[in-house]
Amino acid sequence: MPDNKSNDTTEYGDAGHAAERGFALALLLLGAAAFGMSLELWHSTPPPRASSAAALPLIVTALWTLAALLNLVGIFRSAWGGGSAHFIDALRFAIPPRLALTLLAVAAYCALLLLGVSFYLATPLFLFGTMCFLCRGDYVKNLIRTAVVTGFIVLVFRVLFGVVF
Amino acid sequence: MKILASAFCSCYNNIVYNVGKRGMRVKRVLAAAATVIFILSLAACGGNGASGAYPSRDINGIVQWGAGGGTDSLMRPLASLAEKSLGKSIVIKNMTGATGSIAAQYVSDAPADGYNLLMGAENPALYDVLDISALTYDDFDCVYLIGDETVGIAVGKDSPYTSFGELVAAASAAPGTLKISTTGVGGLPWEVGAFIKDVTGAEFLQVPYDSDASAKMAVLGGECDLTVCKVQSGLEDYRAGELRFLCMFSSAPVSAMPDVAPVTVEYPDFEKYLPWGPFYGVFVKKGTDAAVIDALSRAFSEAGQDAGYQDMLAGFNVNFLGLTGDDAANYIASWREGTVGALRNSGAIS
Amino acid sequence: MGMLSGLTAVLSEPVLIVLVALGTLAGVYVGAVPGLSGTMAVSLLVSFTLGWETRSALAVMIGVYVGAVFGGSRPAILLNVPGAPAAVATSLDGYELAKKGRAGEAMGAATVQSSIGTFFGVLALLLFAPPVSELARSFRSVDYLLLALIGLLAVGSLSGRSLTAGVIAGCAGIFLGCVGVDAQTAVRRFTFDVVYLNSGVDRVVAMIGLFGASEALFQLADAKAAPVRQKIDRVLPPLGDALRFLPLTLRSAVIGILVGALPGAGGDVAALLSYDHAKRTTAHPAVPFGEGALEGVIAPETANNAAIGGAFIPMLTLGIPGDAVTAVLLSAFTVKGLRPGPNLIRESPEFFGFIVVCLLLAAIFLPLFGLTGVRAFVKLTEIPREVLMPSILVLSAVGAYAIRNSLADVLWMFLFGVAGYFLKRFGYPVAPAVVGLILTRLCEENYRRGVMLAGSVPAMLASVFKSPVSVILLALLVFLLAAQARTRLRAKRKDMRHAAGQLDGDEH
Repeated sequence: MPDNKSNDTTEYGDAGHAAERGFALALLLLGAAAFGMSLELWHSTPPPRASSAAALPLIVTALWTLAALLNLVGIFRSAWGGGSAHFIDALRFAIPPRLALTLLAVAAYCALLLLGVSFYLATPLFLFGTMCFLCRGDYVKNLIRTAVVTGFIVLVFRVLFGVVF
Repeated sequence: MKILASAFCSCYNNIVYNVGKRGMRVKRVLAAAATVIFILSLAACGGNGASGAYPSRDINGIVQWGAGGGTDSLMRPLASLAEKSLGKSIVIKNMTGATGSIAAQYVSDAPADGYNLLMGAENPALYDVLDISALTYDDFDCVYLIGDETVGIAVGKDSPYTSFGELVAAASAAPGTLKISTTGVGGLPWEVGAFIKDVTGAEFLQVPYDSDASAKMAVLGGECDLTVCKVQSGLEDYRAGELRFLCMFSSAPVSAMPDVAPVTVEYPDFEKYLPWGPFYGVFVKKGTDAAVIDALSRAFSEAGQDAGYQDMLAGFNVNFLGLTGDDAANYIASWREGTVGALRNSGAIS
Repeated sequence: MGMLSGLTAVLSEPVLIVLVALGTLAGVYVGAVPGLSGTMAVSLLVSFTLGWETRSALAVMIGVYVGAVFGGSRPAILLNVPGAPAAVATSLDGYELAKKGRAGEAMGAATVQSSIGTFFGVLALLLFAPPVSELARSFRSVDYLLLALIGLLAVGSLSGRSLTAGVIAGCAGIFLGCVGVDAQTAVRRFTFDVVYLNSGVDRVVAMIGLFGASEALFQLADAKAAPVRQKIDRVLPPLGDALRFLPLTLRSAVIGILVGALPGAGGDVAALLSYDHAKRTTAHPAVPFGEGALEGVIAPETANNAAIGGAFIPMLTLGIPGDAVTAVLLSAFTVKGLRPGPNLIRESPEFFGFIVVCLLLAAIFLPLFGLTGVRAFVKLTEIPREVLMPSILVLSAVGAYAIRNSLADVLWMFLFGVAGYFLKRFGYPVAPAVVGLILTRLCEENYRRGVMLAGSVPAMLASVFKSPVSVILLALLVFLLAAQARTRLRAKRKDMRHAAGQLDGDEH
């Protein structure tokens, strides 16, 4: 079971374990899907196959699926395997509300850019919006900070490096 | 001007921030308002408002291949020279990937207003037959064709073969045993391999590498038996005796390597495909206004004629052509016809 | 001797010294911005210095190169956002040190070690260019494959306690590295007919997302996190420290030089290999690796700067670039009328000498510029999270866009960011995914070429024994694999005994 130190500060609890199981399952499903795609590629390549474009993907996705399976089994087998929780609670563990809103902001930012909104408009909007939401108030300071960051980006990327937005 | 503006902005914001810390509310609001106005004005000037004669703003030069590569090295100096007659900057961007089709797609997606130039090599002429992209050079107008290069067949210094004929004979006796290092499907050695198969029937085992330099290294190190090398890539190794050129893919010897026989000496049938070689040019999307194309052609022609640039081309061993308009279009059309013909005859493509 | 005239050229024209200094300074700051790379900066300089005299142009470019390789370590340590793939290994322990308030120490070490690494690289260039270039030339596809496999073993090192988690991440990384048009056969793999996927997933985009954006998201999720106060009284590492780590420095430099000299691999691979090596060979680090071991910063920073000198070796002796920046420099040479290739050193020895001197100067200027900005940079991390993280998100987006002017890269970057966030949330290691992405090309291309050349997989394995270099590499691979397996088994047994309450005192 994954046990990297960066997670020491959070307590898992039932919701956390449920979320963890869900994530491990997701990893397995993704691995299996990738393996399926690689298999399809393998079958559509003419021999010799060992040196074809499908060889490495096949090996690697097989390893992925195997490791994900072992991982899932390990998680279920360990002491954390027990305890069920509501789907919503597990989701909330995985994506705390603050983060969920930030992700929405990111999605909105990407959508704006995709729709063709000028970078110079979308970026300050995103910055100002997220900062205000996260800081709860301090609108003036955030405006200034937005200006500084945008100014920095424009200076370095547009002026110096000529990146065209 | 923009640098000053941004620097001013940063200083101004620093002052504003400090003012803010001392808690003078009104001033803060005013400062914030001023900042917003500044950002909006930046957006306005950053935006592309085209009006007036061409060019009214900077032009993008999209290079198909990586920084430091053959195409890039020719385009950057040319662009800086052309900037002088155009009056606006040509900003070079390298957009690599998928044999240059990413760059081609980008220029094709952009409006046909002459502000996005495709700076490429010969590969786009074959995109459709290689199923790399639906685009070809038919979708672009050539503003300036710089020139082309001569290539030759090269082997390592320890190779037992002393002439192209011997190589062909050995390959014909045992097809697929001699290894040719290539730069992948659609690359230079692959194309020449097709020509060789069509005319002589010799077939080699193609081993792909990721660049000209790696393919050449493979032959130098002995991992492969032969490769197809541009004069520019192989000249120094030839002079040092590390690489031996068995023949040049041309009808006449090349001035930089006068001792290497042209391929037509042993196989006159190649004549129908020659002259042939990778070429480099500047293109715009088809449908661009004729006046714009004209302005670009004139600027680049002037740049190409520059003595310093000509010296550089000679240093790169590029055969200067300097074609524009119909001449360029005809060159590309006949290049494509010959190459596709050989590819079909040799079975490289169906 | 011709080479000495290179030295006198610099002394007689002090402007050149100033240019190297300026270049190094610029490079340090360029390298510190993720998305801006040394390669980009140097190619811009080629255009910018077209009218300049050759030596002036070279002086600036070399300065920028050296500065940029080091520069990537700053955000890596402070924000867990490597400025370039070469700094990925540095962020692993560097950021942990920063979390403990020892960022100043980490940055000081990174600066000094980068300088020392550059110096060793130059030494190798000066004294050992011919034999190293011979070695580089003799490297066959099988050898590159073995090297890539050794590099992939780093996935094991970076996995922490759970090997399966690391393998998942690593394999996912490799799989993503296979997306796109296959370079060798032009077959489209896993692109779902989306044009932008044709050129595949860019590893810098993945890195920015997996490290930068995901860290920003991870920190934002944790409402309680407060910025760590950094101690920056002691930035310059004491001489005793430098001497204590000298053996590790030397070994890392050798790894850096050799890997940098290989045309197929550069500073990023060198840094990963030397980090892995350091982890293996440091028996009792003051702090365990992965939690803030200083050795984990020293090794990669020495290696990636030593790789600069290494990359110049094939470039100057064979005319073949050792990495992306030397490729741009090669074209700059040609544009200026120099003819890179086997004859360059013989025909223009003064340029060889000049380059050596510029590299040495850059190595001297590096600590000067590297150490000055520390306080200011550290102040950056003490900005409240709510302001810093959105800024990092935006900077990541811009950096991802700047690579190929493609909005798709920005979207991919955010996708990686979200994926990286989830990995971190559940305690999976993120680094193996980037390792996988970095090594995919090296591994796959050489595997397939090896099989093509030999005819079949068994034949390729047999061909390993035809060359002493290959045999050594294979032996190394097997040894490292066995060593790693043994360490894991030991740890597992210790865990089981611990769980059963039988932990012995001498097991330590």
